[in-house]
Amino acid sequence: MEIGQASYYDGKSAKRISVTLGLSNDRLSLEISAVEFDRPLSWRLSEIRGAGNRPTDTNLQLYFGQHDARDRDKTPARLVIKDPKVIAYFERTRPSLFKRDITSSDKRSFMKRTVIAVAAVALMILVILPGLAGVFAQFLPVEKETALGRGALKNLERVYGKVTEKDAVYCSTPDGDAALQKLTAHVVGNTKMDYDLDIRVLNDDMINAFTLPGGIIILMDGLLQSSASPEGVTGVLAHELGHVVERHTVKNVLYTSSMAGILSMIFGDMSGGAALAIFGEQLIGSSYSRNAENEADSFAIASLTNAEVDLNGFAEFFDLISENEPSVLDKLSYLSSHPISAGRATKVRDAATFQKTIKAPLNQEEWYALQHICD
Amino acid sequence: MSERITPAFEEDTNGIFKLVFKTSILSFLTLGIYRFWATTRIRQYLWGSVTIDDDPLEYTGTGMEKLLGFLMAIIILTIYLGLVQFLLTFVGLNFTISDDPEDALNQVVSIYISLFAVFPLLAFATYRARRYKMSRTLWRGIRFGMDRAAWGFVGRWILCSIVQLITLGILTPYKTFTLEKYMADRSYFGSAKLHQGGTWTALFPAMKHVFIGMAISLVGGLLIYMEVFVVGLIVTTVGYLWFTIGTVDYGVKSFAYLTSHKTIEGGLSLASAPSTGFIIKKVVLMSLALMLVTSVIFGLVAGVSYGLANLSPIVSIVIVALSYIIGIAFTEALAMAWITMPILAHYITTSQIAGFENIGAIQQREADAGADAEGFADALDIGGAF
Repeated sequence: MEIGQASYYDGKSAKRISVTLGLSNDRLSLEISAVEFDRPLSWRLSEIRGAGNRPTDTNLQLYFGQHDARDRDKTPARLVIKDPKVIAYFERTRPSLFKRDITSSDKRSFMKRTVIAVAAVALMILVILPGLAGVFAQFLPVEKETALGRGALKNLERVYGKVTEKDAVYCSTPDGDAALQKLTAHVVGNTKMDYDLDIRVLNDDMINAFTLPGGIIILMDGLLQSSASPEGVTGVLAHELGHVVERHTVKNVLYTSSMAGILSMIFGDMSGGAALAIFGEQLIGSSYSRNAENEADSFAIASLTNAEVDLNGFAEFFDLISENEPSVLDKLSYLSSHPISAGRATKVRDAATFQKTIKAPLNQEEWYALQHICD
Repeated sequence: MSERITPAFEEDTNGIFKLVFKTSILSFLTLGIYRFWATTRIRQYLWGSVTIDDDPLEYTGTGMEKLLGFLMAIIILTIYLGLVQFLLTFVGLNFTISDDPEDALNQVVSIYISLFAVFPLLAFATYRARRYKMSRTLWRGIRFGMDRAAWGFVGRWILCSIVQLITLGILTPYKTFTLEKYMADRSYFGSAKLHQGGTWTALFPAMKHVFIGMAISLVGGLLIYMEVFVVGLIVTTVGYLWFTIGTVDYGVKSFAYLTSHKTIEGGLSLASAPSTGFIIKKVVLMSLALMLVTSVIFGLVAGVSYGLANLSPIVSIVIVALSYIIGIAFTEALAMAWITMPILAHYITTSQIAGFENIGAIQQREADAGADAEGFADALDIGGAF
């Protein structure tokens, strides 16, 4: 039975051969005949597939062979059909013309590469980069680190000076400064210190404290105001000193900047991937900084124990934080980068039970002077 | 007598719109995983729209091999970029000598250094992506292909970029020509090798409007320097616009020159005569129309989400997110149907193949497995529209 005309390409050269299409007697094969052929080619209908993905009314390209796309490239003989009647015939009788199968070798190499890719990224982000950050942070000269910290501090003063309604950025009174120095001496104890510590009180009501590179520690007035005892402030100061000694700020800069490059590459081109990259960065960055917070807590516990300062005061400070996180969202953002306060309080309280002797870090007058340093 | 053939392009605006819309929604919903299959389907569609002497082009690339290539690129780039970025940050920290925060120069320098670390990879990815596309293109069952020579391309790319930079862009034709010749001379259709003829100096006339734009901007800058502000600003703006359109003009004219000087082994040659006017009209008018349509759509989205303000926050977030996704997919689909496809069609239908009577002598070439597809291009985000 004759179906119609088509062009045939043998997959060996670009020479066009005009052919006549017909069905074999058993109606299971397509017979392709041309004057150039000694005898007609026979393509089993069940093994004929459409090439490309676009059967239009005027164009259908067929190939003969296996069903998946890779083999399509390996069996390059093609039939190009222009006759709408013939195209309609194939679409009617062979509905699975454009069906594709995924081969098991595809699945295997997909699984293999996915595992290797995830492992490479995980190894890099969780092991190699944090390790490198730890090692390289030691190689950064103290004066460079201090210069970095000074730069950041100036920036902070400039920005803060614009937004604050207070008269001065920092607070200082002779008695308050003396009290702060006494506390500092307590927490430093006999720890070997590479930095000239620069501890300041920022005139702000937030209950917070932070560390900048090069031994700069900023305590906020809100923290001094709301702490029930000098022990709480001593604990926070010791915690921040832990960040200084462990060089956390430098490690953090090294780690997050290199990690950000990797994440933005993985998610960069995905639709909505930028958001995903930022989220991932937050998530990994937070777990990294949670780790740092834990290290700083451990340093604080050791330092307060040596200085014989009551750790219960430090624990109470954590209670204060968890009470003072007003909205759920604030709490979430805080928790994401800090270990859960309740857990930290428990850890500190546990350590407190081992303390044999305790003494007050400041007397009443000194504590009063420190709390009123911003008045 | 040389037989000349003009390729045809069957433009189906509705068909491509639906395909791009559908596949970009799927890409969103799968967090980007589907994008490899989206690209594949769009290419199959566009390739199939091109017919040369009534025979369609065929795209044989697959989504799976693109995904595998991407994973491969991730493995290598994670290690390379992670380490490079790390070392650069460290070096950057060490170079922070000044403690003046206004002095952002150091930061700028370290950002540029990390860009320089990525640039060679971009060139590498560009060549690999082109080789991948060629190796997955068939016509009459005969494969196109390119040599494995990406590193040579990287070397020339670096040299040419330095030359271009030093001469403030004046020697851009040298870069355009050298790089295109490198790629063309390593390209094949079946057994037949392509050859890039011509000289780079012949591209200078194509730069005419770029130079005029530069000159006008320079005069404008001079006027501003002489404190003739209003006139200076107007002249600078005119110069900038002239320069921008001149750049498009250079792209079109250099393509025409380079294509018209390509020959295919065995007595075939190419010709191309695209119109800058057509391309600029498409880009400018259609971009304006697209901006109008998308602002209406996103305006509606904003309006709807405002109207939903009293619903529960979760419901309104979901509605806003969905409208956002649909809005983006709609924009992508329109950009393809109104701008990208018409321009592609214009380039194809304004080209010619001469010596077509010799086509039958061209033989098949070996298949190119190509381990990483265009994974590097994808990971480094230089994939382009399709």
